[in-house]
Amino acid sequence: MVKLNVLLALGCAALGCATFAASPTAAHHTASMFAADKEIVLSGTVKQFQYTNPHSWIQVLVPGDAGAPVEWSIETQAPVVLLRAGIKPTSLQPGDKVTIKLHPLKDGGAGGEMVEVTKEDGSIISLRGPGPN
Amino acid sequence: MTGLRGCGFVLVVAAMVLPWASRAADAPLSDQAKAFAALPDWSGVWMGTGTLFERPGNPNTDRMLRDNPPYKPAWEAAYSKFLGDVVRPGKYLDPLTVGYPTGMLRTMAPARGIQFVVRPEMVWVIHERPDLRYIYTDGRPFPPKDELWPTFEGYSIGHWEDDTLVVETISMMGGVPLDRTGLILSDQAKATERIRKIDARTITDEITIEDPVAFTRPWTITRRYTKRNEQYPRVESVSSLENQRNPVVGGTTQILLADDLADVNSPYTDDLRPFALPKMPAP
Repeated sequence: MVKLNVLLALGCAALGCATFAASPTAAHHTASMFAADKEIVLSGTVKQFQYTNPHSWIQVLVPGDAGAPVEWSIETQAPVVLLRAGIKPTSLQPGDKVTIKLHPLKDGGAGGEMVEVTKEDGSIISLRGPGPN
Repeated sequence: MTGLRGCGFVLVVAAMVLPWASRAADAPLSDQAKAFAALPDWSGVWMGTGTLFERPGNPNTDRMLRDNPPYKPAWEAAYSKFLGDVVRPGKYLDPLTVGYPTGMLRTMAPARGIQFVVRPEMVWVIHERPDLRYIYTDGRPFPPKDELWPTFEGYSIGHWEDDTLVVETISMMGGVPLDRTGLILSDQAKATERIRKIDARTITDEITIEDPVAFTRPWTITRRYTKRNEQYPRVESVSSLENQRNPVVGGTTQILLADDLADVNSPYTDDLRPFALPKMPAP
């Protein structure tokens, strides 16, 4: 796993390590690998949106310290949960410039649990909706 | 004469047709149609709401919570130790994660949508997890003991009391978790449910669990389901295996990051790659 402790620390400091409010749905595997009490913010380019079960993944290329981009894996919910929150397979396209708020991995790896994604046009993707019901 | 004959013809035809037309208007329903007509309409997709078994919210915070069944002291001590040693440190391996069935009674505590397919002889509870529960309503008794064995969903027999489906379930496998805290019952547990639609958008399930091995007294909880209000509600099966990037290694849940994914290979040679699912790992 790629270690990006410096980036994590910077992001964490910028956010004041805010405690995250409960998300509307929960993963069924243990989420102990994620630092639920920390949020970081990454800016990068979407490589792939894996709209898949049991969880979906946003693969994002983030500029790395050494110049070469680092591919981050951001976990989120199953497709049917995303759809009900108004998040579609087409909501994120390869090449989209995004800013992602996430709970980082505790071990400093290039991954985390999605909180929300802000696209270049200012639209926000999150499990809080908008969506039907 | 001609006119009279014509009139007679009309009368004869009318005498032949009218009884038929009358029968068509209120044709007696077949026994099967009558049986269907007597059943309540539980169509739609239903979502679990706040629950004892499966609390909504972030597991990182909610795993500190627990249910409080009337456990006997030894069971309470074991559950408390499990919470402290395994669940709170984040070491719990939820069987759902690795593809096991939901199991009774967790089927009735859906984190996803459920459907009730109500037929005269059987009710199916279909769970998006995915899981399927059969409730026999054809008047059968429970099978003899030597034809029962512990299963994830148990054996359920139901009957209708007006618009309430009353269900008894036995033969549930002991040790199947009821929630994310690892709460379990013994294999001697019996559940009695009263499932009813209380208004157009709400179904409730009052569940009384008796467990002579684990409990000091019966435990009653009530589950609620809210009907989704889209015109065309979508239902999906949530496979645990399609793109499983959280393998369990040595009892610990892992996460496959970008570099790790490069190690996922086809089980076949490259020219036969189309015959493997995209995420199928090498055996």
